[in-house]
Amino acid sequence: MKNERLFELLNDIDEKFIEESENITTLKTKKKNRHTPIKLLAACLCLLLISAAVIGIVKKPTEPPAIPNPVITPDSDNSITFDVLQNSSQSPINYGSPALSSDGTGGNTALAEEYHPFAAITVRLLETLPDVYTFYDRSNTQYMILKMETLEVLHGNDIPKEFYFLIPEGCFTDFSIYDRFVISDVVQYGYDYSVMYNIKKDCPLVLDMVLLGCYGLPFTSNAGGGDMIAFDENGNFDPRLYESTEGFSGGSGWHNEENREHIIKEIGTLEVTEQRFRNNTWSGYLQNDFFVQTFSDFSYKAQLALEYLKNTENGLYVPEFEYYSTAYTRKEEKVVFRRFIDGIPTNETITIYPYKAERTTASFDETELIFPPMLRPAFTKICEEFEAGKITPPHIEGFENMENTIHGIFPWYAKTEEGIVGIIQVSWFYKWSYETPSKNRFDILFDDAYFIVKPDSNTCSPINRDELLKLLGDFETTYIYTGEYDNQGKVYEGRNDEYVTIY
Amino acid sequence: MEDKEIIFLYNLRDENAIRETDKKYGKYCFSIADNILHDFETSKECVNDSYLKTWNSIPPKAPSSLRMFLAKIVRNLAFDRYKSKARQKRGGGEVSLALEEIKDFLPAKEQVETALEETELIAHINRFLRSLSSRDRCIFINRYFHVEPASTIAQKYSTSENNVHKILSRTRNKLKEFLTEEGYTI
Repeated sequence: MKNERLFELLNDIDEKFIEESENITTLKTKKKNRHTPIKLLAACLCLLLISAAVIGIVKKPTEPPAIPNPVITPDSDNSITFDVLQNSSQSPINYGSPALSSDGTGGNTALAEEYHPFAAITVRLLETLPDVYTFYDRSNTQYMILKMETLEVLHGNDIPKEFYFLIPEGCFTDFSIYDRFVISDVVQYGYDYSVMYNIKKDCPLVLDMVLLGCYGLPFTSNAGGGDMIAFDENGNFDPRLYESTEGFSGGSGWHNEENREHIIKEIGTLEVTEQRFRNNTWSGYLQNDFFVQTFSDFSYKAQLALEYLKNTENGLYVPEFEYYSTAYTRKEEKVVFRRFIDGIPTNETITIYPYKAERTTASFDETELIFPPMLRPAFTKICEEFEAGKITPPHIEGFENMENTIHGIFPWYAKTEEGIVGIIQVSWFYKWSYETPSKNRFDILFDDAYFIVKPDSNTCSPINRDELLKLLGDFETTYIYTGEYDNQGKVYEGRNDEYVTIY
Repeated sequence: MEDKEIIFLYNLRDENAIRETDKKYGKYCFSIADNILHDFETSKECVNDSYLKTWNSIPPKAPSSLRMFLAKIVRNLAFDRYKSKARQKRGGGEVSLALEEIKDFLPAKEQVETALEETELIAHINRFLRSLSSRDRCIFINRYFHVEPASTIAQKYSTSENNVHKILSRTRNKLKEFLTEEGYTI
């Protein structure tokens, strides 16, 4: 039927329109109520999308630099102790190019009196890096990297004069056709010597400047994410940026003369405004109530921790997503870096706060880094064995009669009571159909198994989860399921005696 | 938990991803399904199935908006259920009314046969929606995407039900004209 087909086609309309129609509902309710209930605010916040982009510094060499691994022996507790700067006139951490202060001067600057979270800046494109990149983690989001020059700091502290800027998939386009951009809600995602992965060339890209991006899921949220607005050489708003990508919001139908003049007048004054795209203005994109995280504020303690995190021949650090969940709430301004060895994660992290740094109990020393267990060949072998059907879920009974929808095989290095080991986790997800009095239902069962690779060994042995936890002792049990098992695999909330359900 | 963290759990194949999705979007998904199905148990199952479909989709998909990704999956599944129920019995309901309203506003089947042609048609519809005022567009989407009754829409926009019907009728006619100008035969 034609009408059914149209109904189905409406499923593929632009998501911005659907969000707009839902936001109108929220706004209407908000305006009617004098006191906005917490649940409604939570509903508004649910519309915010956060991008967990992690930034590295870009260098051109095809081989990683031969940088010695500076080992800093931690104290008996988990904190790295350093002397806090006593004299504030000492140089703050100076990474990459000199920063611009909000009054436009260059060079090292004193700390601003008022701490602004997010920044808004006017920039010019210097270069678009070739290829497409991802982070060294298990996410699949791809990014372009632009090299930018800061022309004006509209709001924020210590923005570098040159930096790399992250563009997520969905916003890929040719940025070279625009004269300049205004970017709001700028945050720092990485610093010197962070690394990204070049998908095309299958190699790491070590970055030599700080990497910035927009807070939140860039360019797609009307309700609070960062945004990028393009201008032509005459200083007029250039609508082509919005028209050319799916990801940039606000492009459809509102870039008329009146709005352009309005926003151009707004550039110099970042006033918090409640106007949003749905009201046909875009002044709401320049908001000043956000968060910028630059390391020039950090104390000497954090500075030394940052030095420790520099890329080495067999280890590098990658910032973790955790930062973003805390960043937005401003409860803790911190960045968590995880050590990787040969591109494989470990259970060692270092967390850098503005005025301190902490590390996990797990901390690899020099000798461990020289000859780690042969985890890569073991991982390959496990994958082969799995494909041959030789590795099966250890807990779920009757899995042979169930549909294995998903499986995962994940390796990492761990510091344990016996030194460094390699661990491989195999996970299963089974779909189990059965009849109920009313209808067929699907239940979802989870299970996992662990294998261990020791140093100087070419064998990969299965290990019981509890034995593995015992081996790890007081070291971090990252990635390991620590709950109960039964004959249906992992036990989790929602299970009852009648049926297993995920809803 | 933020969307990106939930998607990260999907990528990790951590079953907490489903739990967190349910915690954050369970009610939202249920409301979409229930608007179409008007049946508690069936709507619940539909939401359950949408979680499974999401689990099977991420990765490799990396949706920019988890909420929208779920909305479309749930809507699709709910409509499939509706169609299969509707074959068994005839009856009214909001979906029937909505379908009746748009029955004469789509090009003939022979004009939209290939996937490419369908993609082009969706692009035209998006352009059409972009040309509308914000209010008209939202009313149209509330009615034909979310399948909300006209009375609910009227309340949202502080207007009368009659006015909502007028706006919808006007918008449908505009859509018809727009598609005709684009070369489609309605």
